[in-house]
Amino acid sequence: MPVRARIFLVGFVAVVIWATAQCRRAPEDTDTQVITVWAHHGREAENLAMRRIIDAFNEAHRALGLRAEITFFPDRQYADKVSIASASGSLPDVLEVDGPYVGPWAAEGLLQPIDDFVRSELRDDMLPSLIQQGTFRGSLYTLGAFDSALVVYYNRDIVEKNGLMPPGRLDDAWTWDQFLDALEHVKPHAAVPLSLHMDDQSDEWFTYAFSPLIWSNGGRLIGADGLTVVGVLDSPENTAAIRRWQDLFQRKLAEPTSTNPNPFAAGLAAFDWTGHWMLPSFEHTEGLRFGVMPLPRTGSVAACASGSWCWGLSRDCDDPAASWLVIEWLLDPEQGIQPIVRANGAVPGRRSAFALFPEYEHMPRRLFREQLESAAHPRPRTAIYLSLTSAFARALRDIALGADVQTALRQAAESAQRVANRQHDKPGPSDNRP
Amino acid sequence: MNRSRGISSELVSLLALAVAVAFAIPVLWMFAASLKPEQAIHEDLGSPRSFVTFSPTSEHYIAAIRRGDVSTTLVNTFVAVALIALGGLCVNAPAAYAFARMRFPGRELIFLLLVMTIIIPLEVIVIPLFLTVRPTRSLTAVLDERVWTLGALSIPFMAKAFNIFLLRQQFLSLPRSLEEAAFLDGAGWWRTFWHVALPNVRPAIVTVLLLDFVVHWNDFLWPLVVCQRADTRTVQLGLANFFTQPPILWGAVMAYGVLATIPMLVALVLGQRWIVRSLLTTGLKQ
Amino acid sequence: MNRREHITAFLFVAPACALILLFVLWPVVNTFTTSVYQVGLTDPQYGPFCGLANYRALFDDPAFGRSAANTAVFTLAVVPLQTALALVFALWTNSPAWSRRALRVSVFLPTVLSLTVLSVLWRLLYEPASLSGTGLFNGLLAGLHLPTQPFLTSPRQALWAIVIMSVWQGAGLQMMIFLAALQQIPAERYEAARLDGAGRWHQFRHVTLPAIAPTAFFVVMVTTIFALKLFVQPFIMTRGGPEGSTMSVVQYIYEAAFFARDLGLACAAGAVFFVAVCLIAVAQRLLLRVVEDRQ
Repeated sequence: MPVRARIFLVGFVAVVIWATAQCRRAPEDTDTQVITVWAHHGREAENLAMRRIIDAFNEAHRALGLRAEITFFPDRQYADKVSIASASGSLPDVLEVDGPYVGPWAAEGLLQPIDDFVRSELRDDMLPSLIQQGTFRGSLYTLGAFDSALVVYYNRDIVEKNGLMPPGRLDDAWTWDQFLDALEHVKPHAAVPLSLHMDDQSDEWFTYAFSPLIWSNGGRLIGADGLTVVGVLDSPENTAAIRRWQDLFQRKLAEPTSTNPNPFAAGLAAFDWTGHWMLPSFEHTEGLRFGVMPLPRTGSVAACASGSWCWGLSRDCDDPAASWLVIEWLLDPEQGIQPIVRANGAVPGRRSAFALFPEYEHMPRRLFREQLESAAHPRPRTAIYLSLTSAFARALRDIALGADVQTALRQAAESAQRVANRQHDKPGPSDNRP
Repeated sequence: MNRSRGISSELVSLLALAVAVAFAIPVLWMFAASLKPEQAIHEDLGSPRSFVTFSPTSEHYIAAIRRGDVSTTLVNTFVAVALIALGGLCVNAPAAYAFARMRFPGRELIFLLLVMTIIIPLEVIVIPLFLTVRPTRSLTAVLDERVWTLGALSIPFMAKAFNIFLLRQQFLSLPRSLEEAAFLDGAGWWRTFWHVALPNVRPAIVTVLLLDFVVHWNDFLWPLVVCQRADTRTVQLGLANFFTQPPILWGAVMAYGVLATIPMLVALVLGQRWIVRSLLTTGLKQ
Repeated sequence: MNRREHITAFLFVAPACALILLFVLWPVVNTFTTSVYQVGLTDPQYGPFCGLANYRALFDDPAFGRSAANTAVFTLAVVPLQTALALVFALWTNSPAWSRRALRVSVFLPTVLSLTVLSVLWRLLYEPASLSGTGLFNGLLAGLHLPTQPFLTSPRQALWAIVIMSVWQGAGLQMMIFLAALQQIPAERYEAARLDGAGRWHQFRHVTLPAIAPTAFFVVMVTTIFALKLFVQPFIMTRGGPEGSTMSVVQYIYEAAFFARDLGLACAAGAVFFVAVCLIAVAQRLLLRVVEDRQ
């Protein structure tokens, strides 16, 4: 055996032994009950805050012998990871769920209802949009510590200097024509008139960000039964609304692909169509002066998106009562909501929590709250949501690149309808309840 | 004549170098981007300037190490891949030898079946495969989670029809006279395999080890399925975390990519030299 | 003696066969059995037996036909291009000169990088000319005063852009396999040919080619299979778009399982794919036999 091979073998064995020794070092405390928690990978500050919340929980519950262990997964993998874990019975006890996934996951029985744990004070204190989001077929499955806000940020140095005054209230939201005019107006002064984040790797961004165009024009993504897509998603109203959106690309006011994930912070974009989660980082970007305005209307009513990550108990959770303590902690105004909302800039999920956040009396956060209270639409709660959102996102990506709107929407509708038609009428776990 | 031949061979060498550079452009681009300030990456995106940087920075590497926890994922991946490669050799080489040299009932049929498994994409069988592996999760009561994960990452991929095929080709190309001599000396199958056949296909063994390394170093879907905890993730999972998790900084993603590639490059450089050397020292010519 | 040989052979073969049986063939069998039931991704138990209903739904879905066609085009383009390129590079770099070694390393380099990284990277390189940033390739085209191309954003070019990237990425591995075969050829054979007055082409045609023919067949077979498995590149670079032009069969299976959460349908697609791949492999084998017989 050559010397090199011998060195390699010895080195390899050493690494294996070292790695095994590393593994052994983990302290195994047999008296502690471990509650496993899965969460999505947010921005860095959000993860740090989440870790601190869990540490504080562990500190406070040491006497009870409870310890929570949190693992983060990136957005794009999260749903796949949960599916695979559920197929193998290895779901965590407490599960973070993105709003629109409450429907499919409840329908498949991955979540257990939490009605029994939610006292009426808590229920009444939650934002109605969060109760709506967590309810499926009459049972409550999830509650969230915060809700989201989708707005258009604008760069004051570009927009106001060119004589435009974007509205600060929902009632004054621009019509689509006003919006296009404004973009044409700033086009000579900005590398990117409007940033739409078309490079987003997830499908969810597209449904979240652009469904309001459809709602504003009186349309829907899917019928009220949660199973009719053809004739609904590709309705004439929706086609008209999305055609207006396509104008953005055809008039070169927005780009169908982009390499720069954040042109607004770099001062290159005049307008940025994005969510509350960018607010803290924009506030900390030196030299960036910005404002927020509500989404422009494509039809007669103002519409905005809502829905965000929320907490539920999985079907593999053996001790729901102990696990509920973790969720209760995450929803506590001071222990849970305050740190996470400070980190991600979202809208607190409980009315009583607003006392801790005087900034929601002023712009820009006042608009976030106002939107949620008056014009928020949840994304549809349907068992076929994943297929619907992926078909819709695919259609929007194609339309941005110039595909025919009518054809793209019809194909998306047909593809989601095919999945809906194959949905076997499985009784949801909630249907057994009186 | 000698002179003109010298010039033309110089030209061919130059051409080879030019093609080498052209082929390496994307990788060079990645390396350059990992050293540039984020702003400069965007500014230079479409121009030859993207290959140079006037203010190199290590911030992306620091971000990759701090935020991405590269060191843990590298150790996990290395151990899992080495287990696949070495464990794989232990089961694949004897099988390949038997298919090449021994006669037994059903040999052709079994071999054909094995070779057909090369074509099965993991994506198709990943859920059934996981259901096969799942019952062993109860072992985590006695085994550490990391040990279980390493086993789950490696054991299903040790036996590999591709490698059996490759090694069998090599055994077939050995002159029979060598082994016949061993048999005449009274050696049995095992000793012949271990002392005569195996040392003579060393380049192929290195090739097989390297292939395992390359293929499984870049595994994505299976680790995604198997790794349940952050400290058991492999480097590709870490990378996927990194480039889908805002803020997306291309420089840091490229730095992570470079760090994830370096161990492969080291293995390759060592392995390539070894291939050449063993070819030269084997000196086995008909 | 014979008996003992059988037992020894069995011991040699058993570990590998057992592992493959458990971790490859058993899941394949499961794929077929699952494909005739109604079963959701997360259902603990199978739903009712449904015969060939999943297959009927599969063939009714135009997206499946589209993805099969895309995968076929991709394979038909990648296999000859990549094999030819790999052979050329293997012949060219089969030399100790340092410039050839550099070329060999450079061609092999992409195969050691993960497809995930490379897909992210090439998406940046392919970026069309735009307001906020132009990719390197279009930047170079513009610099040469050639028209810029939409690459991944055009339904007509996207698949070909992925073909080019894949050939670039995969050729190195095949080149190494060819190199290993070339280095097995004894130098004496070339000398003998040279003594017979054979030129370079003749040497290639009558010494090199016959010697590497089995390897070439192997390389073609493996490349075909790798090409049929196309998934990561479009999944990251185009998500199967634009207008479905880069949707692959494996992505279809993935989406049926994880988006539609329809394990029955996904397994039906997997079974069809498996049978198709087997048929292709068998056809290649038969073709080889015909070629061998003719020689």
